[in-house]
Amino acid sequence: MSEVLFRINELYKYFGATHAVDGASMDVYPGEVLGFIGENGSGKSTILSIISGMLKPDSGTFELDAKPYTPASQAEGIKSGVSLIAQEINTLEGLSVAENIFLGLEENFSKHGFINLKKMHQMALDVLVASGITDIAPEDDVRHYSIEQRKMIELVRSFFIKPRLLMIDETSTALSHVGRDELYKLINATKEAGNSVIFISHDLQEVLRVCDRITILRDGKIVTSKMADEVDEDQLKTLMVGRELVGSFYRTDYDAKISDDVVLQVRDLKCKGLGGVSFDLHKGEILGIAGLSDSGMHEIGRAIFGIEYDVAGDVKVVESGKSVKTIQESIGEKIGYISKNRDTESLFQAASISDNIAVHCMDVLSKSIFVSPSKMKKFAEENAKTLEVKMREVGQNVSELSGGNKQKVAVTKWIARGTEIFVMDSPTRGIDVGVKAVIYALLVQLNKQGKSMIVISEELLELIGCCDRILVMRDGRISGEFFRNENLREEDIVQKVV
Amino acid sequence: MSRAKNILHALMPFLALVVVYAVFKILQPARFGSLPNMWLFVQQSLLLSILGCGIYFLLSLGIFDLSVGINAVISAMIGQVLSNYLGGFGLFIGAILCGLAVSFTLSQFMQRLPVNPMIISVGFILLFEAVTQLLTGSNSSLQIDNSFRVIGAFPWNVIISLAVMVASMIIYKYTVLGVYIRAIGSEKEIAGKFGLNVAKYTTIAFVLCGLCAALYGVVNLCYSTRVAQATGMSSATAAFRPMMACMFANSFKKYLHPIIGMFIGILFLNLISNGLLANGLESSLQNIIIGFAMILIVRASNKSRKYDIVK
Repeated sequence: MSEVLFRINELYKYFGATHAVDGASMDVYPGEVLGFIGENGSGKSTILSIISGMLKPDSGTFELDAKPYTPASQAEGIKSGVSLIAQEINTLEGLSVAENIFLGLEENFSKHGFINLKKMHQMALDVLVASGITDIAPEDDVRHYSIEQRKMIELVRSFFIKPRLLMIDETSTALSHVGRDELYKLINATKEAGNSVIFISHDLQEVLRVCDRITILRDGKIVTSKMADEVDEDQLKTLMVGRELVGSFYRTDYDAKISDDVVLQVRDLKCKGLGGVSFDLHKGEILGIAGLSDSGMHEIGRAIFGIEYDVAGDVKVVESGKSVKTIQESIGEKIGYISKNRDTESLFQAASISDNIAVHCMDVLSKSIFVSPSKMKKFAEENAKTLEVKMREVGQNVSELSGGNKQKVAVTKWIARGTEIFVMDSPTRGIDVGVKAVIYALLVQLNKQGKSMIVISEELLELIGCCDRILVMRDGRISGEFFRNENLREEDIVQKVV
Repeated sequence: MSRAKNILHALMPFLALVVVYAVFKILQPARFGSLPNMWLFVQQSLLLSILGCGIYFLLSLGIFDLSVGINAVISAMIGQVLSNYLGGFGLFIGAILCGLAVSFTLSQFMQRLPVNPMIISVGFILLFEAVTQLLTGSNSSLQIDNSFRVIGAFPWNVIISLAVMVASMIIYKYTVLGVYIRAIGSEKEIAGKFGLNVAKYTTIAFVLCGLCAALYGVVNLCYSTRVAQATGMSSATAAFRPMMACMFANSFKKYLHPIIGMFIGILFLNLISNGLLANGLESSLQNIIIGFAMILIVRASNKSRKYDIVK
């Protein structure tokens, strides 16, 4: 690996007093997949944003193929062969799928400013099909597609661009297994063409599987780089957090008995993607829901909370004897829901941490129609301490927080309301190992307080490690049930998933 | 979503027109709905659609600009002044250059000043309404030579309106410019990341809007032979109906080209307005009923959209 495809020299970036990137220097070699790992706020995404041209560095230089590379914008970066698939959704509503794939690249099918729509749609269809995607139509407005499908559209765009340096920032968590396969295909194609990939993921097993070399960041500094075949997951965790992680993340008890008291009865729940599901949730139980992304697992949470359209069946809160059908009824019956689409469905991005935490507690905080700002601030501060949200102050906007801290706020707002039944869809999606540990500890803590939880997750190890019972979903129905025991393995569940 | 359902949704605005026509025709068979009357409504709606096309370009950028109305008035006035010296050439060139200059200036103010666009829009209305008063002096209006009436009458009014609509339809859907305008309107930061020159295409959208305002001003002037001074934000009301029609069009744009949807929206509003007038309802009550009808139609179209979501 003598030749260098991309070089970073002494990169610095400050946000106020925070050293987001603190003197980072590194090389990326041709045909290499380089993993970037580190806790939330370690500077991974900031470095990629600077490389892509989205952010300006305070100092430092780049070289691409031994030539100076100084992108003034992301567009210039793309033109130079550097492409970023970011964490956030980067497709534009109001534009068709084809228009999104080829935005800024219309010269392939336009003449004198006029677009040959037929040719554009055909080209888009060809690229989609070549990427193994058959359920997305080129002429449809992207607003009609799910977040995952929109991420796939971004991947297809990258397939088309064929970048010299492809950067993927925590994208795989937004994708199902099928989507991830497509992502890996894109990575392999880039690698085989002699180009390079920088890959960020909090899933360390995935990083070890996908990457050739792994660079570890901490507090904006590059700690070290290791060849993927020289390290294991535990060593990476230690390097990430700067200390040895003692013990397991997960629960170690296997003898806890599930209470006989039922708190929530779900009967013949049906909606689009869900074909009649019945189960009971017991008091103090952590009930896991496993399955593939399109198995109906995510719809269960949405249907229980009242988000899904055209829901049939019954969701009854046993203590009150009331059936819930709407979001308002669910909140009234102390049911809380944390969506897998954290940024768009669980938080008000443009609002403060204080507003986000207090929004569901207005009945407690208000006097008639008035709310005391100081009372609200104090309430938010007290509750934010529960999960140790890393922030400057509660008046800070949620959009400024890292992914893990956003998730803490999303959970905190329901705890603050005194929620008894938590429905958590992919609660550790896109968050680092340190925050994951906090979330797992929180599950145990809530469990001890007698709260009941439905945890929906595609990460089987997480469910095996945390849940009292696991229901497996396949084709919109429950295909299996497993109780907590020491001998339960991923393979047992996979048998029922596929 | 089946093809039949899509066709049904595309037909919904047309069905709404038929229903409204039928209701008023039954209520007032003698005073409403004669063929010559309907033809007049269509011509009036086509004329207002010229302004609607301009407004739609700005709405696609996410900008609500009420100064489009005063741009049309001031452009017509400048056209009228120049027509006295240069005839028809002066009428068109004067109006178009004025429309382009006003909209270009407005675009620069809106992009460069860190002020709410609505405040800039209102500022322009107040400024140019004062200019119209200066131009008209004590007469309170400017009159054009009767020989120009031909431009405001059939077939030229229809030809010009249709030409603007067809050009707008092509620009919106079949050109790189149209794609970029929609991209910027969707999320200008992301559009910028894709390498789009946001300032350039925003300015072009404003200029297109100015061109439409000028053409509307000319045809309207030739139709009525006079253009009156505007006072007390009265020019802003000219933009309300096409703006409502643009929102109507947005609700159906998955099934129907928005420029066609916008024309149907204007026709729909004109039809209700005239139907209510035929039934003797005063204008304030007319506005209430028009408002409710629009909400119902848009709600009906949005309700159907929720089932389209692919999960």
